[in-house]
Amino acid sequence: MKTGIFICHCGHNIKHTVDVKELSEYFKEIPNVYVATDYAFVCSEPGQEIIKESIEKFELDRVIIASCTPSLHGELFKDLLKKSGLNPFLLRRVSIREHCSWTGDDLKKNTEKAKKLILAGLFSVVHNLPFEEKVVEVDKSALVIGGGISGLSAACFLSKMGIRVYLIEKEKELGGHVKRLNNVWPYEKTGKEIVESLVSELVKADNVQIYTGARLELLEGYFGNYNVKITADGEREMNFKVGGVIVATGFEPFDPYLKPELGYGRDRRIVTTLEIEEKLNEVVLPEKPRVAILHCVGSRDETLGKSYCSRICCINALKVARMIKEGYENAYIECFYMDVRAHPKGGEEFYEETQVKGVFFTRGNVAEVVPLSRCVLIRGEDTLLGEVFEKEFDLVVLSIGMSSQSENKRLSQLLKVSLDKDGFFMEAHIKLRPFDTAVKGIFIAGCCSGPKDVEESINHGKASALKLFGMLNKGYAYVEPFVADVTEKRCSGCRMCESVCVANAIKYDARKRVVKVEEAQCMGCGLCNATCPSSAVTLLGYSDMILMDEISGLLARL
Amino acid sequence: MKGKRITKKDLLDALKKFLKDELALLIAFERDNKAFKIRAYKKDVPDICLFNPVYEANTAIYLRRIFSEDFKILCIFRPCEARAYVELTKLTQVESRSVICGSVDCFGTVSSKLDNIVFPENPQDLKSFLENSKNLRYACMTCRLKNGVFGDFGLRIDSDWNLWVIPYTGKANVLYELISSAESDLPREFLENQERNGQVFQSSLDEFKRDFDKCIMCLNCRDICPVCYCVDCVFNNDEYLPKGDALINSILRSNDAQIPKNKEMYHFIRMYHVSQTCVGCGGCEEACPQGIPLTKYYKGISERLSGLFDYVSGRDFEEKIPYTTFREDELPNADD
Repeated sequence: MKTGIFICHCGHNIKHTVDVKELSEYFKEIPNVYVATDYAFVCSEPGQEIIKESIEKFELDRVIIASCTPSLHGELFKDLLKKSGLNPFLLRRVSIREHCSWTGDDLKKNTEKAKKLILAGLFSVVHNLPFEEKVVEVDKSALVIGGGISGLSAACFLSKMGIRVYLIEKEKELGGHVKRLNNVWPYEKTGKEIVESLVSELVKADNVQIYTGARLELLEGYFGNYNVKITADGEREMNFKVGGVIVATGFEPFDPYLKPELGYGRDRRIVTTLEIEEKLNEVVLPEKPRVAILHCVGSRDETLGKSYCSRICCINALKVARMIKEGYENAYIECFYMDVRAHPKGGEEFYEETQVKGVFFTRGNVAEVVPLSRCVLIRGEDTLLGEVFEKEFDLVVLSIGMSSQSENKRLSQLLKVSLDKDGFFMEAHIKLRPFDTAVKGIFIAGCCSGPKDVEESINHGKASALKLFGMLNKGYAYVEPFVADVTEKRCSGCRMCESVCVANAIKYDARKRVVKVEEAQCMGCGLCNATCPSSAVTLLGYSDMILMDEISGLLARL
Repeated sequence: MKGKRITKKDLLDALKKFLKDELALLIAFERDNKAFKIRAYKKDVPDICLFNPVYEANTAIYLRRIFSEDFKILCIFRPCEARAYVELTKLTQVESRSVICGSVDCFGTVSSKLDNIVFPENPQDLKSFLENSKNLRYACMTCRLKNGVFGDFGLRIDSDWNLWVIPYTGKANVLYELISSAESDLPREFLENQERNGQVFQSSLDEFKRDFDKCIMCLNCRDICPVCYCVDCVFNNDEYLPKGDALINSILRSNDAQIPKNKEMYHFIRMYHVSQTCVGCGGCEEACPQGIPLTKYYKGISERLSGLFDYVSGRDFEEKIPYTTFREDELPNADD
């Protein structure tokens, strides 16, 4: 076995706190290491050239690159090995930047640690095998769960790009919450108009199937080949196959009954922002109405276990204030807020304008809303003045926040996608991969991953659709070769692995009394490997022996 | 719950009827003069011994990998053996349709290594004899599950020393229906079996090292363990227990020059593997030629780890082994 070790300085990043010269000198002496060298930037063109030349000159069959974390430049180095005529799975990356040089300043200790890390890599790289990535065909179709604004946007985009779309919506009609909005600030359009333009596009398209009153019953398979079972219109059962999934289940408005001290439901003069928006015309108010708007109802409230900000309710409250002001010029409007978070573009200006137009803002906690015959009484504390107040109003508007869909829990189990602590779907990475989930081919769009305004929801839907389109359009997908593998003669058939498998990839053969693995379904997580008492299930590329050898490298006396 | 009050003769008559079937088998204990043995009965059964005071091995190991559905195998076991059977059905290591396994109240046992103990025949005398015996096995001294409440049916003794048969699952009917006595409500009190030694299992790393230094890696404890069910153990192979060239290679390759290799690792791995399913029968300790107090470790660790999940091995056919399930709200104090 001929191994080459390439140690990167990463400019000063690694070199500064790790003695790279000592490392290359040390590894040169080890048998089977044909070349050990260090270079300023291994990822640069000349750096890559050094590796390529060494592979050709020494006919290397294992390569170790000690540099940054393996997730960085992963594809680049894989391609480099391919170009040099070597199977990319014969490469071993060792992170001596994140795991070593960045963790401390002690040159001697860091160098020692780097040595052990590379040695561990050397011990395990001998086990690397020239795997081939498997190619599977991808069905160019998508399931969109939820017919709200982001689901509609995603479905429209995908349909335009020629992807077959199955859109399922649990309600009788499409449009979600946006359809109920009278005024989608700042577009000066009604929500109905926005929704209807999208829906009419979808209805016209010949590659879109819309199911209303529908519910997802089953999702099985893997990226490119998901089998879906739904029930539509309450009972009709449908089965179809899709390549990918976009989850756009949206949100549920906060249930104001959960805050009984605010008196919702006890009096017609206490309403939510959603209701007033729909029915402002129906509310009977005196000529000079006194209106209170309470911010943060069901948001940023630890007592309800909702510590998050719902993002839309401040601007919503301001919008309602302006609507009332337009209808009743002499209205006295007072907003009770924690702090005003006017998120979207132009929001801050809208807030200032609202103040100029004569809406009052009091920073305070409202403790109680008491409906009386002549007025609605509000008791609370002004947190700027530190005083307790009691004020009379004719109308109280609760600016309610967003809660996660109660259906999310069931869906998360069907889709095998995690939820966060508030019941919203979890992104693969909140900043770097906000549209992806941890499951390949399942994307999230809109408020199902957390509160968003209309504009963000539309963008989120389109972005998820674009990402899914990019994956589907290729027509094929690579499957990682690192899947579970069963050695039948060691398998006792106890089915422990089957019960821990999150991907449903393990099936029990009742005749042979052993298990087998559906390779395409396997995510390579290794749970079965850890569970199997006789190591009959092995994760290819990560067998017990490889890990044990790697550990003995780490523990070796230098 | 209902049961039938019976005499030993009623039971034997029912068993004889049961064995008329060509494909029926009875596995139970027999008393042959002084010796107690486990044996199988075909066609007829002259007598059986319900209360066997001598422990050889956990009888459930003989049920492992019975996969045929054609037989009817009736077993009358001790509680710890019936529990092991229940665990094995969960792990699909025995075809539960062909095996009907019940448990009898147990008074504790002594090791089969001891000779020259004369046990009284009468159950009353046997109970007090065992309760006062200094030879009671450690596993039995610390056993809190001596009542016949496990498996498909139970044979129990009430406070007036009457024998009762109580069905726990539908399968028990193959025996229960053959018993001619009338069904009635259960008596208010059954015989109490107290654990004698309620101490908490405790050890230290020093003690662990001292105890397991004696291990010769004969793997007897693995082979005799009823819930160590793998058809091929990792310690059969050179990866974990290197022999010959593999041994020399592994010594040269690592810092560890111990021979035989991986002694502690073997016991740690086994402790983890049986940590939920261990029935605490102490069979491993009986099988150890070196006299290592294995019950203390295996039973001690499994009681703590299964206690975390409120799991009792062999309590219920439907109860899932905790390691195979995941609930978000489990182990709230996991950081302790």
